[in-house]
Amino acid sequence: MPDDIDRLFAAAAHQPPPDFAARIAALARERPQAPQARPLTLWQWLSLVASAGFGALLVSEVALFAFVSAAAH
Amino acid sequence: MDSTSDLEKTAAGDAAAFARLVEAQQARVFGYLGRLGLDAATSEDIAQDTFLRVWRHARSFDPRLGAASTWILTIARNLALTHFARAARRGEVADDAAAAQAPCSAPHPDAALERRQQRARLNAALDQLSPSERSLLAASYVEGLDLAEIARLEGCSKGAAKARLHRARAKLKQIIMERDDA
Repeated sequence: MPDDIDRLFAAAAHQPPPDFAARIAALARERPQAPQARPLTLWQWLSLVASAGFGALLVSEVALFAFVSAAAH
Repeated sequence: MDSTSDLEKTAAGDAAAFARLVEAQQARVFGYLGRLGLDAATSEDIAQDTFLRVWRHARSFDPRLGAASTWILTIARNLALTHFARAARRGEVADDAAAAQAPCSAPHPDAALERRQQRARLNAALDQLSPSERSLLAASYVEGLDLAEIARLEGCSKGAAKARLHRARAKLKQIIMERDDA
């Protein structure tokens, strides 16, 4: 036997308006679709890795400089 | 009621397949949004936004990750949760009592009034649950959505979905009982 909550949820569902699907289909025809996301090419991967490498090098350099400077004092 | 092939055709720009897809999935989306406690106008806005996003991003659907119907409900869920978050920031509260007493022009006014009062009763109780608890409960009443799909929709494991659903139902029951006693 369905309990009170089941009856309340059954009454809560909305119905789509009669023309909803046709209206949405008409709206969609006027809108472009998003292009498919393409995977990165080899040179894009290489430049990403190189940028990350240079970034890490810069951070290490700053850390080393700060360490040497602190040790000198 | 899976629409994977229509969604794949939609991804190729087939507008007729998209119309079939909307026709097949609209009742589920509206049912889910209504059971989240959203009013008819807001549900229609979110459903429209959902299907237009489906059209726009159809190419990003991956059938290996789940059924088309679950993907569509996930979009509807995310939009509804964003709506709840915005409403909470603005401090909006649904006027359920006014909705329950609004005049009705339906052919069976008594049945329509009773339905509205039941909806207002449920919405008042749902307002005290978190958006994810509301979503779980609403999803559990979507026809043909099993526990695995509910878990996918909510982004958790089957076991967690089952436990959370059980807790949410118990909490809602308690709130409704307390409100009825008051």
